[in-house]
Amino acid sequence: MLKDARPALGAASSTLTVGGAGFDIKTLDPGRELENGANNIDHATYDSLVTFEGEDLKTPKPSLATSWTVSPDGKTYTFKLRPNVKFVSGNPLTSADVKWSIDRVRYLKGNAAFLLEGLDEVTTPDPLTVVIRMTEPHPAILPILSSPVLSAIDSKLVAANGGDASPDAKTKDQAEAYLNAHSAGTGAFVLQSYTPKQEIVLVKNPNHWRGAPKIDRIVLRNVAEPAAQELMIKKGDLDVATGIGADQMRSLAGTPGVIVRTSLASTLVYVMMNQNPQVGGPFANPKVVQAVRAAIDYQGMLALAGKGALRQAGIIPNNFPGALPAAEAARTDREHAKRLLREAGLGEISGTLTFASDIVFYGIQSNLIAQKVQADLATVGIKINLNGLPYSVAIQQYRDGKNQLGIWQWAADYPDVSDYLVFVPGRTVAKRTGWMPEASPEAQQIAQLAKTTETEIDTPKRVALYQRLNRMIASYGPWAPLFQPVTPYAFRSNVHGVTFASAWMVDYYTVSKT
Amino acid sequence: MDAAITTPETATVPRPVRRRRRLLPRQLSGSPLALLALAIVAGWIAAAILAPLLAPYPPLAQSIAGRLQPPSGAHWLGTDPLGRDILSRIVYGARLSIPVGVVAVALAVVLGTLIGGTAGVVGGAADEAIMRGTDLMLAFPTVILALVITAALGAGIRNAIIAIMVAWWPSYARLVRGLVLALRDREYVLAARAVGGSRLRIFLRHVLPGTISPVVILSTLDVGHAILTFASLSFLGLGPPPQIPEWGSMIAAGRNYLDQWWISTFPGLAILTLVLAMNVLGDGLRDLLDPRFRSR
Amino acid sequence: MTLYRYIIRRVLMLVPMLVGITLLSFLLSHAVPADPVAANLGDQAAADPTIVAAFRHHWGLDQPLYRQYLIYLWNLVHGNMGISISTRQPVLLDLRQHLPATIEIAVAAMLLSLVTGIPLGMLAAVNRERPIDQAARVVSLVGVSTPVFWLGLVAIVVFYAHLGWAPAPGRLSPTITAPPFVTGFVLVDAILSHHWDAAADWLGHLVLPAVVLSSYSLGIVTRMMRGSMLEVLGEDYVRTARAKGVTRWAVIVRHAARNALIPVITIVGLSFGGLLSGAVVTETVFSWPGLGLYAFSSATSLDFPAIMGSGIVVAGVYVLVNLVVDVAYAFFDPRIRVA
Repeated sequence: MLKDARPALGAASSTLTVGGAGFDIKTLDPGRELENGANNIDHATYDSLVTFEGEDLKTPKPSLATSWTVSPDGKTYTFKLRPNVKFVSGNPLTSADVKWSIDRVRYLKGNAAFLLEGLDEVTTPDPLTVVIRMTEPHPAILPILSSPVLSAIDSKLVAANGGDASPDAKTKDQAEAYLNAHSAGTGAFVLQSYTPKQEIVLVKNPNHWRGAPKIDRIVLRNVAEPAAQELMIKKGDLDVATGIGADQMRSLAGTPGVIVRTSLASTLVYVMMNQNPQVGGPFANPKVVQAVRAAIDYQGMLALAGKGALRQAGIIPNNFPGALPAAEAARTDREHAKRLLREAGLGEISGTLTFASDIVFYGIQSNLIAQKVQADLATVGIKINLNGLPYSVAIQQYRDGKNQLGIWQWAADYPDVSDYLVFVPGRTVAKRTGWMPEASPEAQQIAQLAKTTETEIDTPKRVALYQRLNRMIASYGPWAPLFQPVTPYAFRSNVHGVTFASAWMVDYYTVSKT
Repeated sequence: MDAAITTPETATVPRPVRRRRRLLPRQLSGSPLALLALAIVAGWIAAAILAPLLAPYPPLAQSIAGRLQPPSGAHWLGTDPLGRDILSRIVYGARLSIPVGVVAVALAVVLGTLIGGTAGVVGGAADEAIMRGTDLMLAFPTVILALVITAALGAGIRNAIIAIMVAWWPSYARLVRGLVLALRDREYVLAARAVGGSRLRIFLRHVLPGTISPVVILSTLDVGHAILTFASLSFLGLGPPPQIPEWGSMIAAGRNYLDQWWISTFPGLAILTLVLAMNVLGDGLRDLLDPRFRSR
Repeated sequence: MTLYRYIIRRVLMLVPMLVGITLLSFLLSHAVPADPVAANLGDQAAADPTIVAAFRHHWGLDQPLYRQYLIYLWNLVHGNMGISISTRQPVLLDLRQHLPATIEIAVAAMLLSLVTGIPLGMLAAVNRERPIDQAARVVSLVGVSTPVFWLGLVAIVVFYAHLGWAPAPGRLSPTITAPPFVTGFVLVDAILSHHWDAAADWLGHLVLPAVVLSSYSLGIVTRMMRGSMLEVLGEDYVRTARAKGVTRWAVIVRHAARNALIPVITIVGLSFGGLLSGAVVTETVFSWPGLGLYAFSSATSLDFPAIMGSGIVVAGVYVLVNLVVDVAYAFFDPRIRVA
């Protein structure tokens, strides 16, 4: 077996082979990426101010920042940087690099720029201190800073290769090609090669500030078929498989040499009903919305979603503060649904359900869920036509607010409940579903409550407010939450220290092989 | 997969050979292979017509509790990921595949004949333009073409048929044009013109009938191919809505369930048996009508 | 007209053809009621007009359509096919990486079908109407009647999962380092850099997709060979040779087979196009990183530069092969040049 061309790596050179599914990666440039796959890589090659350890996404831990303080008004965060940290190039890490990296994300206006909404200014009083000031109190900024998008990039090196962090960065920055071929971070691994849609190779950074990782080399392969991943991990051709589905999980259970786990995804899968009367038609009627919620067979949905998937009461996933207990979740009651439909007095109702036919989320084929919804609604007399479109066309229709009915998912962009405020009337998801504050007094109330909630910095008060908000949205919002999915993953029994967090999937630093 | 697997553009019309009278029934009944093929095709057509009587369960009836069951006494071919009976869905699938194959080819033939015939008869610059146009269309991969058409028009049976028609008419256009050009110079056409017949009349009475035979042969061969292409489009998600029983999308549904082999295997066998039988028949038909292959 | 003039004429017509292909690709990709923003920006980003505007500006999508097309043509003439929105690499580089992979399986499939189909066709023709002929015909038809995607899935389950004879789907094993990129063809690059294990590994991975893909053209080659053999066997010069006392086998090999091969060459060229198309599905099932996979994923993510690039390459290859075939045909049959 041929080793790569670098100097000898030592007696037992270990390679970890990981199977990724679909390779949704578009770019590895931290300033421009947002996909899970890219986060997975950038989390290994870069570090941020704070991080989360293992699978605990509630308590931010120090990473490049050793400590931090928050001002009493909640608007200013002061971080103390870890001394003597070096980039792979040998350049030392300073607060200037942190500022440069954050400003670059802000001014590139890329996919992840919204993470810095509300940012006023980043200042660097000394080389080891970073001050981040927001325009309004925004407690979510701390978990947001853990994102690989906001990690520290070697500003001198990248600027020399076309990088730009000035307000004109979106036209001036030319560093993407460089960053797709080289990593310029402080992380435990270094990018060796990136072949888009096919393969990524990482090698260890022996001078990493936490100490060198235990794996010498990581090869990530795009294995698009979950069934192929199952076969490969059974035979040992893969060490870690991150793209298997519920049914692969079932067949892999009990296979000697393979360990199967699930990680609760910070995602909500739901049915939406457009409240814009011109688009939604009969589904813009609140009684019909409630009838749909009562008609769905949630137990059956959970069976489709696979072992470990959870019921959702409301729109906040169960692992976030503000989530509602499962007992409050909508109940299947078809008689009640029929009664509501009669009260609505609209006669026979029919509609079109649009969904992305070519995606498999969390191992479940989207068209299975669509067909189940169709069959469930048929039991109460609602006739649904299924309209499966390629993802890009379906999502465009949804974003234009033209979906009458749809099945979509909302995956948390960062590990904080405030991301789910998109379901508040007038905000992103609600707007696309046609639910505006003017729709009803309740909608107006919810919009107001949201404004109070998002600036609340006292944690217990915050949780209570989010719960209240969640309850109201669950009752009055035009959605039927279906389930919170799990990401199944598997690894060989000689691989240790595997953790899986929804933010960046596997953290390779803790992994070792015997 | 592109159309018309056989004749190249410059197809020559069968050269006149010493003909011997041959009885159709004897040729057919003399070959057990052809008889078997005929029986299979007839069987599938019957299954399609009698589906409501033959299917043990409604093809759309879901049962989450009974999903992914292997073949058993209750479900001879097992159940799919939503608990639907696979045997019933296969039988109902014939109702879709067979008509779609026939209609798609028929439409492509009609469109291609009109355009290619016109090119051949009119000749000159129009002919040249049309031929370059067909070259262009033929150069474009069918799958990508179909993908774009369904993305623009929406998925569904009608649009899948349109996609196949749009991808295949150029082959027929070329064929018909070639035939028309060759026939134009035949003795009997020249004779008719010498006698003073109008161009249109000559075309309809002498040229067109000469094109029918090769076109019919090729199109019957293509029906099987059309069924395959439609299944491919469904497999890629570009066909009818997923709840409608269609063999291609049934195979696609089994992609993530390789351990539950019955989900993909039986629809695949259905396609294989039907298309193979049609191809055997079509092949035999071609041998029959092509004088080059007649034995002494 | 002479062969020379025919060739010149056909080659000259390539240029408007290619332009036509670019126009067709351009129109088709813009006919879809969505644009690259949909597939490339997340929900939050897409809700922010400044981010959407920055994206569209970066990719030249804010220009009027005709200008976008003209800019594309201008760049194309200068050898620049733009940057792929999904891979963020120059499209030309993507194509250079992906096209060899498809050619690998297409050529392997073609060779397999020739090696199997020609003898099979000869056998069938020589033993006409006897059981062996029937059997050969059915075998060839099975290839044409089987859905390639289904065959691929079955092949993986049987030969990889259960029997362990074939390696996991892909072009190279994850444990093998790919040879340095020179031509893009693994075999050539491996030989050039002495990475013998990579060559061997690649060969192992090639078998299953090539066999599956060849199932389609096998049928065509067999039937074509049989047909033209039969035609040739009935010719006068063959009968003359037999009358002179030449043995049956000598007749078959020396006279019949050679002449029968001519139409087979044309069919090779023509079915190459079908192979390129069939490659899309085969590459998907076997995770083979070829042009088919690239074209399909560009089409679904509305990656305009990549769609145009793959459209041009695929159609260009198809047109070139057609040209070669037509010239070969014209070489052998002077009547064709007039048509």
